[in-house]
Amino acid sequence: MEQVFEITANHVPGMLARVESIFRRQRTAIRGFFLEGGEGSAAHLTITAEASSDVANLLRKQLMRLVDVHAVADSSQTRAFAPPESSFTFKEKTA
Amino acid sequence: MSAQFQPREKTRVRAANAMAAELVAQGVSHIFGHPGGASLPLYDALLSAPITHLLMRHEQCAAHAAQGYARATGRPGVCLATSGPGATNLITGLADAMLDSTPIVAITAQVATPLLGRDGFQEADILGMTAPVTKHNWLVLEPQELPGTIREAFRLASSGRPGPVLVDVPRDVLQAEIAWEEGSVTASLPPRRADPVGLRRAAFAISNAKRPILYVGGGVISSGASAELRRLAKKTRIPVTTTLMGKGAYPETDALSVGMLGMHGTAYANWAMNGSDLIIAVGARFDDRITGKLATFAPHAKVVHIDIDEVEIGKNRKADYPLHGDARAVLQQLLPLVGAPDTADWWKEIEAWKAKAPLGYREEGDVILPQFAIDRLWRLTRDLRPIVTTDVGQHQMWAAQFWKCDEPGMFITSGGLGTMGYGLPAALGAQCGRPDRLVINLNGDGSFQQTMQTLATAVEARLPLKIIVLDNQGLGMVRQWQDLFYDRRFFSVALKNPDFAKLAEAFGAVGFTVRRPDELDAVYEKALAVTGGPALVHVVTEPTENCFPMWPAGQSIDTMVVEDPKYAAKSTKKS
Repeated sequence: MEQVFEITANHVPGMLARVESIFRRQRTAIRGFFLEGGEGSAAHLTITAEASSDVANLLRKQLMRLVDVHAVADSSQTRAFAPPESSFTFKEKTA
Repeated sequence: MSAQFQPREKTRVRAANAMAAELVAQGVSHIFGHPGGASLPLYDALLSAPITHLLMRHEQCAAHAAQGYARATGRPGVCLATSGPGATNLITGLADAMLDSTPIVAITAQVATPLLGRDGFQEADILGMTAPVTKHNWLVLEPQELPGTIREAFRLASSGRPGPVLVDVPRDVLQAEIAWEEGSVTASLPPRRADPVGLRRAAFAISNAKRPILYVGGGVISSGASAELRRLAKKTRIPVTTTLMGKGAYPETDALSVGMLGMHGTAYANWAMNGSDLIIAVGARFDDRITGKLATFAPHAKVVHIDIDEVEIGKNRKADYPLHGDARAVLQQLLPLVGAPDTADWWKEIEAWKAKAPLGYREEGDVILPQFAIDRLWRLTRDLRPIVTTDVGQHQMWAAQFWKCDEPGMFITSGGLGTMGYGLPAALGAQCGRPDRLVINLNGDGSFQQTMQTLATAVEARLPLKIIVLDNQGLGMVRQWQDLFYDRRFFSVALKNPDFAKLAEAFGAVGFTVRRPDELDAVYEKALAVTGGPALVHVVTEPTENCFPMWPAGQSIDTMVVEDPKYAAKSTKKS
């Protein structure tokens, strides 16, 4: 099921990599992502991912273990995003 | 202490000197490191600091030595490496410390800030590389922030669930001048206590269990909860089993102990765990070497899970009574609430299992069995209360089985990561931290050769380590798996070894070789008598011995094979 993670974190270089690595280790692909915040202040992240409730709970607890993360809220019921009707177009990488 | 380390308020000093002074203020007595270009400003500052620097011959050894120091003292160990390859060589040790919750502070020098991100000489993205294997890491770009970052690093390494942290400092930051005043040691947060409602529910479950078992991990040692655990076990007469990392948390020679559980644990500990109706897990994480196939593990048991790390509670096994908090604080809360359950029938069953499958090994005439070599040394030295470190492999599991440990911090091993090469540098670190104790490193021929250059450092520092190399001429555990699970298709496991005693002599240590069981005690005595430097005993052992009990990885505990079918008919000596 779709899970929505609302994360408040220090906006410092490397924070995003730490957050992403938590999802990667649980083999959970991030489907949607939004970040707001200026460097040196708090950042607000909204991440959507497909995961079971058990995995989502584990992800939330593991996210909270990160020193840069202050809060993780579950917004899965209220849905922070509209369904991902992507406006992006992808270009194939060429040599 | 030199004048350099007693600065007046807001003295202007080089950041490297302020950093060295902060290390002194944090109580650092030893640093395990290897210098290089980028770290020279810090080495220059350390020259006049009251800190002993052990010049390791590889940075991996530095990280393991810091782990050994931390595990023997309970204080964070410190390792130091230069930029690029020096820093990347620390990674195995950091990963090991992360899995075993060992507090270490790794300091790495980095290329100067103008060169960051430009692939300069010896530049590596050590922050990116170590993020998954540290509790946290920092790249210090503002010289003024360096002392405070060091303080925070020590606080974080040892607070909550302990673990490794890394501070990466560019060379120009180390060289910069800053206004600095000596800071105080940052106070740790008070230990977390469990929710009182959950606590009462857990106490009721414990008091009314019929077949309870205390399942004790390394968290009991790191939180200093051994005394509380003993009181709980004595009050309730609940059997106690420990993990590899928990060895020593509860005295293994005590009647309530059923020894280590897990893939190579005692059969009766595993049967008791699997047959229990209530598992009281304290600072343990239900890892796969404990549970085997999770779906069939302890099918009738409810679980009380006490852990400082909320992530561990329910991660592998559902917790019916989750108690999130520091093991010592929670046991203190729990003690007055629990009554003694009626475990008389349960103990009869356990005693029957003990009689049915005692831990032991067979008698052999002319060849030394590794179990015998470990058992003899334990009997010879147990009154000296030695610290023992092991490496990884068969010898590690035999040590876990036959080296009975009665105190916390006395059995130091690589549990989670299973890092070959851990044992000797960890012994060096432990000896630095505990110069008052006999420190013995039990090693294998394969694992010894991964970090044997540490002998040079031990000789230089005149450390009286006792190194026992149990030489079965191969990678025994890998061989065992090929033997049991790959139709005896042995490949890449035989080792053509050097003469380890001569090798020790070449490093400047004292070396002995022993090949016969009846000569073992005399050689051990000679090695124990060596002072002023390390002694190595090369023990030539039976090469095809396998380690039992064992169950195949990923299989149910029910599949456990208690003793080697090859020798099942031979007489067995009980431990």
